[in-house]
Amino acid sequence: MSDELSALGRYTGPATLVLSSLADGPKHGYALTKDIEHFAGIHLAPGTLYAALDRLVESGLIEGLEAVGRRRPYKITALGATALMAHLQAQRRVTETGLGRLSGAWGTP
Amino acid sequence: MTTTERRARRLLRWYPRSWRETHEEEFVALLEDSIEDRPFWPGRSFNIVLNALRLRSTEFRTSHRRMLLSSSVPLVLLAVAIGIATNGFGLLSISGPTKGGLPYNSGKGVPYDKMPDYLSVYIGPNDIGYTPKAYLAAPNGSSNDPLLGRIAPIFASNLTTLLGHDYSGIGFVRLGSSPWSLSCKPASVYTESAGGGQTVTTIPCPSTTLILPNVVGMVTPTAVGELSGLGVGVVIQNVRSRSVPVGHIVSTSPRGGTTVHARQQVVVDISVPN
Repeated sequence: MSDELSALGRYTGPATLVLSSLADGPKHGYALTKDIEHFAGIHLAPGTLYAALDRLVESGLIEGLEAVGRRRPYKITALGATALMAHLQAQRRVTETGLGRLSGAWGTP
Repeated sequence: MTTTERRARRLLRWYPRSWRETHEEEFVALLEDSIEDRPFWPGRSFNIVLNALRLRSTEFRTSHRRMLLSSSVPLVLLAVAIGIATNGFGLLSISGPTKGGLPYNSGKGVPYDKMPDYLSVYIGPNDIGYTPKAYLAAPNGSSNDPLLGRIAPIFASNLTTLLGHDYSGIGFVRLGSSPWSLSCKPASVYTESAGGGQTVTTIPCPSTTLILPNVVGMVTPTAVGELSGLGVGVVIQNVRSRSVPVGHIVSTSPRGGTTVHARQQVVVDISVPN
């Protein structure tokens, strides 16, 4: 699979989480961490989070807003929303195929 | 200064100075906020040092490569386009909110001639883009039409203008042809809102010619918004430039000042990181 997000290489996982978290509005680092923990059950360590943020800013998928106090919120860009959508749609096909075949061959749990 | 802050700032010295200048304060704030949730330092410290070293090594390699690169020919990347193109089928299945769904979004179930002329593209709760159906579906319903994958994102403000609604979403335009020069007939637009409501709007044909503004040097969203607001089709190409800052417009084809047909395709070169 090759899309804008996959171009981020080993950052794909964190990048998808960050973009998904930002899809409903801007968040700063800590809010991102908590939100991702909440919906994905994954804790992004601070270094990993900022590596992903850097990559995403660099590729124009998110942008940093004016800092509020010391905390800088990040916002998904239109390009980021497109890339996330394309990526998740591709992921969904994999998920649906996998689940479908599992239930076909192994029965519904 | 708290112990946490002192400890955070000490760890941050592993990062390059340029990085610290932009990120230090927000990073310290993040560590202070999260320390109560996870008071355990070793894992966090290791993660910070590891990522700082990765960043340093990337920066070293990048600056090294930049020195070796000859500068004369700008490399046309088309990164976005190719990235999405090779994932063309994924894009074809982009649809409205799954609840209810649009029956013809994937080009399945509804015959091509029964589809409305424009299809909506769901981007987010408040963002819906539109695209002529020819860009997302083919008359024979085939998904391996070679043209189908060749689509690039385009800001939908041209359609916003046409529709008179405030949509800030994205549509998609096919690369490698001039779809916008196709003869126009009033189009129907099928819209599904995030809440599931559905409406059909009719779009009249736009006027025939206009003078292309000069957008060189502008930031991308402004430039693309301005161009697409005029009704021309915008195709984005990523290029590397030494003189134009990243995210700004390097050039357009045709150039600003040229008289063009409304709905003509304009290629916009955007400066991307080296």
